[in-house]
Amino acid sequence: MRRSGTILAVLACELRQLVRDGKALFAAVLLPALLLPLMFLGQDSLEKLSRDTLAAREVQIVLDLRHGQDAVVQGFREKLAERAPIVLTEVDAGVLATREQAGESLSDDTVREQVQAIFDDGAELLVTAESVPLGSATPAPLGTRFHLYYDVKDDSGREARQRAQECLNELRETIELDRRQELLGIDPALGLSFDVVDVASDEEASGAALGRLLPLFSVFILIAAGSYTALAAFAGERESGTLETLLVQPVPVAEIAWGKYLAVLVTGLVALGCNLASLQVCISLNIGSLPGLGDSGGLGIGRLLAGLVYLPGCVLVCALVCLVCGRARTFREGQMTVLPALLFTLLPTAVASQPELEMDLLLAAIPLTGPALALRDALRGQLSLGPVLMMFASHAVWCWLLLSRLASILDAEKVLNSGDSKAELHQRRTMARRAMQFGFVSVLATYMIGGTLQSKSLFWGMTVQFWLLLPLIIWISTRTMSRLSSESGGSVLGLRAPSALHLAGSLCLIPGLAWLAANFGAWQQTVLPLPKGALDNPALVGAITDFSLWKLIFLLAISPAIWEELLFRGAILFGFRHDLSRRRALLLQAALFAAAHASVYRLVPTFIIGLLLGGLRLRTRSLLPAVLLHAGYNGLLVLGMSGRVEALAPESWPAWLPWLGIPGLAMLALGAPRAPRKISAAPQTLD
Amino acid sequence: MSSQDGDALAIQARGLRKTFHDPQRGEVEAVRGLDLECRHGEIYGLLGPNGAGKTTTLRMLATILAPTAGSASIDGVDVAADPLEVRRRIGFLSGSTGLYARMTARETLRYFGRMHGIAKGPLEARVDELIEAFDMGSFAEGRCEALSTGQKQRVSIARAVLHDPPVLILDEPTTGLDILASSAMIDFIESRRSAGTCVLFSTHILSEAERLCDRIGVIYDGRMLAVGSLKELQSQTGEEWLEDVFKALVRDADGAALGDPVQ
Repeated sequence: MRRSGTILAVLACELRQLVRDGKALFAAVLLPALLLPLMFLGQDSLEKLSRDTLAAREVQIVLDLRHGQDAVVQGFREKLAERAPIVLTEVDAGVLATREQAGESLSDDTVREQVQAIFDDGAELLVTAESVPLGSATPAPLGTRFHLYYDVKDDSGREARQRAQECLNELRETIELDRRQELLGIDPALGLSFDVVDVASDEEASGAALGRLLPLFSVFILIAAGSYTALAAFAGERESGTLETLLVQPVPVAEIAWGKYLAVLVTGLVALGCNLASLQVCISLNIGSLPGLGDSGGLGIGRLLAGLVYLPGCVLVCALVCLVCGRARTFREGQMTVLPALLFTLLPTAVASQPELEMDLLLAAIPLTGPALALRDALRGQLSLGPVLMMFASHAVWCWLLLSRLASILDAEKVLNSGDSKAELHQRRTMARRAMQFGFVSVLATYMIGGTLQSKSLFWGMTVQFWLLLPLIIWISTRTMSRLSSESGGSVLGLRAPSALHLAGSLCLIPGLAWLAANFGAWQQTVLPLPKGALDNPALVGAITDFSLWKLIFLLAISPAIWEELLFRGAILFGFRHDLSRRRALLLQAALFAAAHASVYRLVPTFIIGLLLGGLRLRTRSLLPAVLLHAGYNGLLVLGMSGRVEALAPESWPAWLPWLGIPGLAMLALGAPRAPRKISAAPQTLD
Repeated sequence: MSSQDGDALAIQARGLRKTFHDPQRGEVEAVRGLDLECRHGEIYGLLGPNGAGKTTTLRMLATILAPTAGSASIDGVDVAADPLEVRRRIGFLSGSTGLYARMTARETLRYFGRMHGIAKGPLEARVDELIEAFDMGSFAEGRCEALSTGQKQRVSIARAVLHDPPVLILDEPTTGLDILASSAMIDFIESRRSAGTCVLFSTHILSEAERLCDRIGVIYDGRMLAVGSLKELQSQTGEEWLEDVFKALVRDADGAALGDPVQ
């Protein structure tokens, strides 16, 4: 009874403070709910408005139809005349209208110049016509080809083109119909007809649409609202200096943490409720059109009950938010973690929007994927009992695992770690922030610049990315870290010789790692199949198989090994390590490393490899083993697994080869461990 | 130093030691084998420069941090064996203590009263009594963010003595206070002597220690250099002013001349 008393007291205290923070309450909970109908309404009315104004707009069309067949040209003029408001003007389009007859083909620039000259007088569309022979018989009957010249940047031009095109389509149908009737009497196409009936009720169809939407929607809302409360309840308490007071109260810290967690959960659920209500209002008032929701897309009681299967997901997301935001020492530091947390939770949730994915026992047990699939199936009305039970059971375990970590958030040893002055602390936080910023910059640069260049030319795109873009970021970040820590650039990047044993150990890890990656890939293919066609995408695979062996090794093994290691395991890990614990620094740099690979399919393997390489860098205190392992691993995958070099394919390996990893690990563990330096907390004394 | 068997000491620490792991600097020894004894009704000052280990020592006694080695007990209760019982017997306050900005003074007191498991009826009576005693009537219903430094200080003190603890542990209680507020704090500490409360407080301000303390413990580099009344320390070092006493002790400890360790 006492126990629940403390938890309730903390919960009430947190909620009271949240409610009194009017601005935050408004921004985190109410504003999104209010913006939802506005967004739909705005989007809808904007669309309608632009449609209406365009349809009502008078467009200027100029015609030069001298060379077309009279009957067709006449029909076209009639159709255009029916479609008011159009201002028709006759012009002499000169060489444009006569080019077929003149037998010359025009360059794009000439066409552009000519059309522009005509458009300068206010016209928005130019239509020319020419007669073309139909078939190869001599003399062939003549048809008419129209040319429509417009400017895609001009709204009126697009509208004029659309009207003219519609007229031409109608005309073609009329001509076709007339001719068919003339030849055959009754249309033979009438001998075959069919219609399509959707046996799913409106209710079910809209349920399925909601099922794809709601899990992602829920994760967004829960994290946005929950992270605010979590930051206030944990980091805020640290910042305002009340945490120490709380820790000397005669109650277990776990109870305090539980009270705070419940506050996060309550805020998240209330925000979710508000936003769902807002969504419901939008649907029932027919504000805006949600894709595929139809007319009976409401949330009704039945659907809200179905939503209960997502409750484990809510509990889990809120626990995650608490654990992630709770470890931050300040609001600012906490805000850094919200985006990665969001990405981290969206990924398993988004799996549920894959239509062909069936919820089975394995998927049900995956955190967040299970509840999202259950919600999807429940809204479709196709929930099967086995996987749902599995989902609840496994999520009870996940929740328990996460929630049992809650008390550690308020662990005084970590929270109140004394012994460093404020200035020093501030400087170190600056370094972690900078490391995070450089990480984001490199991820974005890889996506935007590297991605764009690679889509033009794979070889040059990758070369520029690895030998220009990344070195630039590395140079700037190393200089920054070096200035902040007053250590040399070399020691920021870890450019020192490793022990021979460590070097040998990391070489031994290569085949085992490649073997694990191949097996993981095979397993992942069953859970998260690659989209069909990805493997035989001719642009990509073609380009890669066209490369010579040396080009491949250079691009896919050596370049990434050098530059990615210098960036992620060099400058970024150094920055994180200055501020954060070993574990957090490793996790964050691995997450950035995985994100930089811009692929859902490679996310998990690259994350794990990022962890391993980071661990190697910290263990050996040198970057070289990580570079070697990275290069060897990439090289083996590229050459062996892709079948380029038969002798290196895993089937032809001796069976013992992957097991070399075990002595490798032993060498790394045993090789010259450095004893931690002992430093007195007191001012240095003169001896 | 005498130890009275049977009648437990208010605070007793034996060989207290605390080692931190710092990500950059490796193992850091903040407190290295510290003995401490305080009697009921005694005001004990822990004097030392920044980084000497004062805060760490007080946090270990207040059960916020667990000692790496050694033992400590409050009012006869071991800090490691029954931390919750220890927390019921101490009032803890530090110079950096904050208040919940969006709660009123009354709500703050009520909240921490509930943490101490005080029933509703007695709690209301106790809160009223404290508001009266610390003259907080005029601002008890206003949010803490709107209070002046002195007013906040009174709320914090009232919060620390809410459960009428026999031992008060104050970590640099006057840090960050203006002259009026810090003199009010000194008056408060003095008033505890007559109430029979044991007050252990840390400071690096020599005049505070001179004025208030029955006994002074000089702490430096995680070790207790000397303990005694001001007179005893003076005769031990042959210096008249506490500042000189302190310097002499530090000099002895270092075995070498040192500039000025006290700011």
